[in-house]
Amino acid sequence: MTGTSEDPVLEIRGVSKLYGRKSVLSDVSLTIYRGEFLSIIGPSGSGKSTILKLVVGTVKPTKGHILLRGEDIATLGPERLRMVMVWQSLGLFPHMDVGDNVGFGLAIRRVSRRDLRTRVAQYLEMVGLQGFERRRIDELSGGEQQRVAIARALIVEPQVLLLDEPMGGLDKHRRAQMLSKFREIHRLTGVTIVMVTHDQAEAMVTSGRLAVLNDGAIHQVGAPYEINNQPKTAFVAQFVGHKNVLPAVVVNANGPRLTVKSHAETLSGQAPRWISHDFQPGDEVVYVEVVYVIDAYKVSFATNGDNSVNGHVDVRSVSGGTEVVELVVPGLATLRCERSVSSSIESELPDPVNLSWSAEDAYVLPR
Amino acid sequence: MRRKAALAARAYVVVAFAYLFAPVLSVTLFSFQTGRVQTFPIRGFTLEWYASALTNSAYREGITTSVIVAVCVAVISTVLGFAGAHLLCRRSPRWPLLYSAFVSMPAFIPLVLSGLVLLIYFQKIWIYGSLFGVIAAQACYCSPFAFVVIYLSYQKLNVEVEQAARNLGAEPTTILISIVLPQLYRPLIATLLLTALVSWDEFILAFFVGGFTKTLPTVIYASLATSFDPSINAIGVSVTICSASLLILVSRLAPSQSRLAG
Repeated sequence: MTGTSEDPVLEIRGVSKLYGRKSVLSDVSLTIYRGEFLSIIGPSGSGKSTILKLVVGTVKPTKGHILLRGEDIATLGPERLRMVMVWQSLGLFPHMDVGDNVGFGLAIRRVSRRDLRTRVAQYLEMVGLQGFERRRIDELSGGEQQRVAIARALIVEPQVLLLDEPMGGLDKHRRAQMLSKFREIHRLTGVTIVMVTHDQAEAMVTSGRLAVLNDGAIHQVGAPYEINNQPKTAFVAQFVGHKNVLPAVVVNANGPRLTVKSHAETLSGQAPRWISHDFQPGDEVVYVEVVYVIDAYKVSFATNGDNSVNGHVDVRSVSGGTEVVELVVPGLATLRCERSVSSSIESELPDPVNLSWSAEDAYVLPR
Repeated sequence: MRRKAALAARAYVVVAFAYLFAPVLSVTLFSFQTGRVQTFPIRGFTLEWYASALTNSAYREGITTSVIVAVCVAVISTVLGFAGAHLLCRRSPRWPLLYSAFVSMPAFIPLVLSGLVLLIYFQKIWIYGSLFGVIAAQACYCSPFAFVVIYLSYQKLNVEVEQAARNLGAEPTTILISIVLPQLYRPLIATLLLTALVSWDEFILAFFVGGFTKTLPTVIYASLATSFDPSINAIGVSVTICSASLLILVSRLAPSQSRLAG
């Protein structure tokens, strides 16, 4: 599907939304290309669900335009507005059985009964629910209801499928199943998918591109790898990359090498290649440290780094082969560190733990 | 101690219910009793009063009128009540509280007052004493009840269900007919029965605006005013059975709405 990625389906152009005097979205622009799987991620209250509501037309923008294949959606009737949304609550029809739910979009278009039945069966099979036609909605599990909602949306062959927090009510195991189902459906139908989620891990595994939203503004749009490793704002670095982000002030700018002061510590880092910004001494910035990996064997020795601090262990949590250690560094902040663990590795950590990292492993972003 | 308290509570319930149902019970007993004088002990068993009630043309006309009025009132009030609830739940009126108060008002005006006012008003617009007048007056009084019962279920409906239907391309009328009304099926039936019940038992409005159009309660009242006829007992028992069965139907239908909406 990547071959057609230069063909824009949905364009959001300079859209702002005010509820009364409260601004929910401010000047959001985003282009969605045919066949792509794009996720909009952000914390709750960032305005991500509002984008979907604007796109399906349940909410009208205060400013700006939304174009579907070059035509303003405000001028399109529901017949030509083929963007189907799967609501957070799914919005299944509780008084109809599974078959009638899935077939609804066709039944109102007066498709012949025989045609309807074969198409319903076909789409139920696609989501892995063959033979579920006569089941009642309240007999189904959360995951099954989810799949009914998706079949109901796909059957009308939408140009864009919109998913609002689709993993909301599912447990971890079902989430993983559902995610691979989404990828499979995307591959099978080639439908353009826009998913809204607060879970960056979900977005990372499913999507070709991510759009990171905070406080009603888009911070960055790009491939998962890019978003994770080359964040353009402090928010993206923290929310998606889970990096250590410290407020700081530039002390010395010498080409790509920057010296900053964060609280009592003087730290060195780099100006990132992926943004063009002229850092000057006195600039208020954030210092981003790539989550430090503690050398499992030499944890107490200061390695050869440009930055060196001592910290006390605060919280430790181990999951799989990785342990996350939070270190309280006096006069700086709490830093998140990771180390790989196995049976041969000493579980005790010394106190204090010495951390050191080279200037290449840290960068500075404008605040 | 505790057993005594429980026993006392039970005795209290029994006494209370005995007090409440004693009139109904005595009327039931007297309706099967021979002779015109109503005293204990009961003397003989007869179905004579039921037969005479059935053959009495005034009662039969009263029953017919009451049934017609009840059916029309039930349909009109349920339609109006649904419209009111729909507006409140889906069209977000500017002042919802004021709106609800305004819609519910007819049920809170003392019946004697509204009966009197409607009597004067109906005379002016030439519908006093007509079947239509009785139906209009009672529908006015019953609609707020319909509004409240339907509203309670309507506000539990998930609006995203309707938005999903709209999003799939359904027109507003299709959404109303195939999405909203089927979900409210039970509360709507309950409302029909409830308003029919209120109309069936209603006396004051029917008395004020009915004139020569007499519903069963006004017929009974008129016959009591002249002389006592034991077939009243038989009528009373039949009416009570009708009302009670409607009430039971309503209570069986109403609570199950939560399962549908949730």
